[in-house]
Amino acid sequence: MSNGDVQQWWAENPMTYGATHGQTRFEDGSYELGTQDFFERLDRKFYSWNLPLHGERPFDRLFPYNRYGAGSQVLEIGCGLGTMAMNWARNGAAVTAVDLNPTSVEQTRQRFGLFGLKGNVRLMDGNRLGFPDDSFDYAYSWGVLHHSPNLQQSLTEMMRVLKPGGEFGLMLYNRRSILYWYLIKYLEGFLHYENRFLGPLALASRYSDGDREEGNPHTWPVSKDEVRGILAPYCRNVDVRVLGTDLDSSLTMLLPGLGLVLPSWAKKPWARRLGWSLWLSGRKS
Amino acid sequence: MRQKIIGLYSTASWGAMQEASRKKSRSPLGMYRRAVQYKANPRDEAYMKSLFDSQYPGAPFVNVQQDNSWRALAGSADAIVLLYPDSIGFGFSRLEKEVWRLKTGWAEVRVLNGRRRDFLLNRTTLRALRARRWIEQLMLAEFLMTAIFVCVTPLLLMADFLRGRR
Repeated sequence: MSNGDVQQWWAENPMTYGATHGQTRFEDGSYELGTQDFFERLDRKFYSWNLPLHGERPFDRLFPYNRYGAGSQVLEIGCGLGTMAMNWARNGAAVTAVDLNPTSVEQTRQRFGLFGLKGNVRLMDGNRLGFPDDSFDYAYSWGVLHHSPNLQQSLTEMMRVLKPGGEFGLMLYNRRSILYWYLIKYLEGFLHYENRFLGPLALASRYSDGDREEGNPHTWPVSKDEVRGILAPYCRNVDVRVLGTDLDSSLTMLLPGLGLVLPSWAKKPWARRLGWSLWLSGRKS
Repeated sequence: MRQKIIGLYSTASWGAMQEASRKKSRSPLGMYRRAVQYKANPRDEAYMKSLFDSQYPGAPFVNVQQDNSWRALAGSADAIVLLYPDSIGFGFSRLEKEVWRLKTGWAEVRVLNGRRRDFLLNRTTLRALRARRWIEQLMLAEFLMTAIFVCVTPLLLMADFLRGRR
C-alpha cells in the first residue's frame, strides 16, 4: 500500500464524523461540506466521542494549552477537517497544520477563513515534512499516523522538526484493546470468516475506520512498546495513557445494552487498560 | 462451452431483523435482533446484484423469495453462486440444503458474500459457516466475556484503588 493509495482514499472519504464515513449526513440531517454549520456539527460529534478528555475547553485534559499560547509554534500532522488546529489557533498559537489529503487542506483553510483564524495550512506528506530541523515548540497528531504505511518514518520526521525540549502528543490506535480483540480479531476475523482472506494488517485496515463500508487502505494499531521503541532515541520518558472513550460503544457491540446499563465506575478500570486509543506524550531530549 | 451460472439471493433471515432495526424496538428480542443485524452488516439487494454482475457478467441474478423459477435453473446450472448479504450466510441453511439436493453432480456451489469474498462452498466450509452462525446467534462468546467482565471488574477496581487511581 503506497502513500498515494492512502492519500486518494482519504481525499474521497474525509473524516467527517458523519453517519457514514466520508459523508456529511448526521442524525439530524445533511450538511453542506465547507459551511460553518457543517464544521460546528462535525465538531459537536467529534467532541461527543471524547467527552472525558474535555475540561473547560476541548481536549484540555490532554493538550498543554497553557504552555503553548501566543508566540508558540505548534504543528499538527494530519489536521483532517481542522477541529483541533482551530482550537490551538484560538489558544493564540501560531498553528501550522499539514495533511496528505488535499480535501482536508482545502476544508481546514475554509474553516479558518469562516472562523476568522490565522494558520499555515499546507498539503504535505508526514513522512517528508518540509520544515527545517527544530522548527516547532509543540507537535501533535491525532488518530492519523496509524494510517501511515511507514510509522517509524512519520515519527522520526515529527521528532526532527520539534525543538529540543519541545513537547509532543500522539493519539494512535491500540492493539491491546477490547475493540481490536473483540470486533476485529474475533467478530470479523474468526466469526465472520475474514481470517481466511485477510492477514492481520488487511483485517485491521478493513475493520477500523470505514468498517461499515469497505474499510480503508491502511490501519495498523500499535502497541505501547512498539511506539516507545521508535521514540526512545528522542525522548527518555514517554508517558502513555490508554484512552477508553470507545468503551461504551464496544461494550454495546459485545452485548446489547451493556454499555448503557453499566455504571461509569465499572467501565473505568477497563477503559484505562483496554481502550482503543493510546495517548503518548513527552518532551524531546 | 460457456458455463451456465446462476446467482441466488435470499433475504429469509433479514426481514425480521430489519423490521426491528426500523422500529428501534427496546424489547430484549428487538435489541438482540438489532445487535445481530448491526454486527452482520448485511448488504442490500442492489449492492449484491451489482457485485454479482461485476463478478459474473451476464449470469442471471435471482431473488428466491420472488422468483420460483430458480429451482429449474439451479438443476441445470454448472455453477450456483449463493449471494450471502452478510459474511457467513445467516438464513441460508434451507436454501443451501435445497441447492445441494437440486444440483447436478458436477455442478459447483460457490459463495459471493457482502464482504466481496468469492469462495467455493464445499462440505467442510459449509460446516464451518454453520457453526459460526450458531455461535453468533447464541452469543456464546459474548456471554462468556460478560461473565469475565463481571468477575474481574471488582479486582481491577481494587487494584486501581490501591494505586490511588480514581
